[in-house]
Amino acid sequence: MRLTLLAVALACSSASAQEWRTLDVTRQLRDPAPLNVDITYGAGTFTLGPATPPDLYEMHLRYPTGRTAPVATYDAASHSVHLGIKSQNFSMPGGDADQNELHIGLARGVPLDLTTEIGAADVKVDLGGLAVQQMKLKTGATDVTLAFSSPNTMRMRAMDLTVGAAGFKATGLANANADHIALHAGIGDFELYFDGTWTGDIWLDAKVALGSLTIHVPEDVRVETNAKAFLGSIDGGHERTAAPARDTSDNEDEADTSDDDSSSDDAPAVARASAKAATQGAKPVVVKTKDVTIVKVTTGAQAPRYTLHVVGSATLGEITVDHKLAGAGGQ
Amino acid sequence: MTDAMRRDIDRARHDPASISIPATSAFTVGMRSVDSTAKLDQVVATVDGPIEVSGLVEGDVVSVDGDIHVHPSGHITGNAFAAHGNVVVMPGGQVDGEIRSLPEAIGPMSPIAAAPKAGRSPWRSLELSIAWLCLALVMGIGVLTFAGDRLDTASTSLSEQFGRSLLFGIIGLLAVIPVGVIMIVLLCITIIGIVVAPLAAIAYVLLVLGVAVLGFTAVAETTGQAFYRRRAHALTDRGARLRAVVTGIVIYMGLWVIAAAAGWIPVAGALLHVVASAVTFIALASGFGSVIAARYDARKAARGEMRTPDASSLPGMAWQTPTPVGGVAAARRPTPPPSQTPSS
Repeated sequence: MRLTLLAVALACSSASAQEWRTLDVTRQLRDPAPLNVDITYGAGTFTLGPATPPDLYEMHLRYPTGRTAPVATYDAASHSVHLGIKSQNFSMPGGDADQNELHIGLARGVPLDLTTEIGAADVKVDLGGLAVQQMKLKTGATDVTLAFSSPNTMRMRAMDLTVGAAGFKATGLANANADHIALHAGIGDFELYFDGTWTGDIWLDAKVALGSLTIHVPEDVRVETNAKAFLGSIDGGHERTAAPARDTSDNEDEADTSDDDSSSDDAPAVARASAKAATQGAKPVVVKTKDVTIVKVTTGAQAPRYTLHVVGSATLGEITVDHKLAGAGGQ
Repeated sequence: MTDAMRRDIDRARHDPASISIPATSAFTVGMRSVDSTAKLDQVVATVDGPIEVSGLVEGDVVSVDGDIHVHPSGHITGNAFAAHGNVVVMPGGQVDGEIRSLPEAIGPMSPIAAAPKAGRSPWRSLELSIAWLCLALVMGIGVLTFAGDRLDTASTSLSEQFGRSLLFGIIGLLAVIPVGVIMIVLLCITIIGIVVAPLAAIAYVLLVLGVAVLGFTAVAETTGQAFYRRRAHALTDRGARLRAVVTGIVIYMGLWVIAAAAGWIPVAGALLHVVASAVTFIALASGFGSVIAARYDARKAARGEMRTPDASSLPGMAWQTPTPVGGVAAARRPTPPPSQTPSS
């Protein structure tokens, strides 16, 4: 609600009463203790990235007078900073809020608890190389690009993304170094790219109301989907372990899935499959069911090292898993 | 120092993006330098600068209408603030506090300064409460005029079974939003339903508002009737009902007017607001419930499920038979059997 008011406040700014002002604020790094960063912004262009050394934070704000007031407060005791704008009143539409701009830079190497609330803006956030230990991003009606162009230098406890009506694209999410990512998506197109360097399993809790969420995952990462579709849909969330193979072929050099209806012939087929798997350096696992004997062949090259667990729900929207990204490149 | 400089300092002081600025008397005029060997333990403030800092300043450095240059050997232990200017920190220069620049226009922002504070003034509250009173009167008279029979049914249900009406009302109010959401979701399952859903939502809101207004008017009428119960007035039935509705609405909405009027008094005003809120909630809930209960009873009666009470056990007008429309059907009033008088 506050975001919407903030956005409307800026978007409805009256041009006639506007005088453009600029505020530049920086603080040099003195204390590498964890920094709580709280950013609020309405409409315009917003960028967030690493600060220029030796600054702890830097802000460049261009804003219209009359409807908004800048915020740049630092509390040394709690080591927290609040940056951005606040709004206090409204007027009829007709402003040129697109000219608003806010750039914030944050120091590398300082653990960050980052809370960002954006109204209606063109948002470009690149947190690559920073040390984000917790992140909350709330946006209203925005066009958001969130990137981790290089690995987050510390383990992120939680990443909470709440996106209203927006076009949202997050890239390099594996670089975020986060165990848990929560996405609350409203209306719009949302794309999550789990490229980058994988260092562990990731749990994605995605709740999509009316939008369309596409999750792009490297092909060598296993995906487990346990999301619920209420009135929406979930596509492509299949398990991607190495595919179970049934080797019951007549040709000893080639596996196929024929003849699996005859349990009496299983023994030589299982033996052939096991032998072939052994020659390929794979581990055969024999699973016997009532009617069929299955040999699961998992080769070392194919074995996924990491798993993306997708939970959540699609109320009226849809969740699609695209499993075609380049390799995870995990360490 | 010229008047224009004083004004600029004053404008910088009242800029919402400004940080603490020393008194105007602490400002010097024109360029100022702090040599690399210098050590100042005071605020350095200049108008129409710039300020060149190569030494140590133990305090803030403030420049109005000029830049601040912190050279590699410069060290400011406080803030560096340039209004209508820039702070430039060269590599190696140190500022322990904040570095803040307002390179463009400075000064107060009148719209924000003049923005009303949060909350309403007591006068505004009084105006609003009187406006609501007038609106409620108009709606109440409208209900009495155009939905008199339904109002009568609701009033009867309310006066006979207040507790039941209140219970129905609370449950009904709690169910308003979930029922609405379920209705919309179910409609959205089908393509036709998606088209109809916005209209259905509007109709549903209007229905709920209508029930609330009808119920509140019923409560007002019942309250007004109770108010005049022991006062004999020669009025027609229509006139008596109008008087009861107006009186009831004035009683309930008058509470808000009194609470608004007492808004000047810190504790009493808040207390009266609480009382008015509680009374209004009970009135709304019981009125809402009375409409639902009357409708429920009417449907049961239409299906013949209504248990017919023993007429002789009910007081007053309860012997009348309710109908689905909400009115009463003509029936014979039970009368005691004629006494057996011996014929003479």
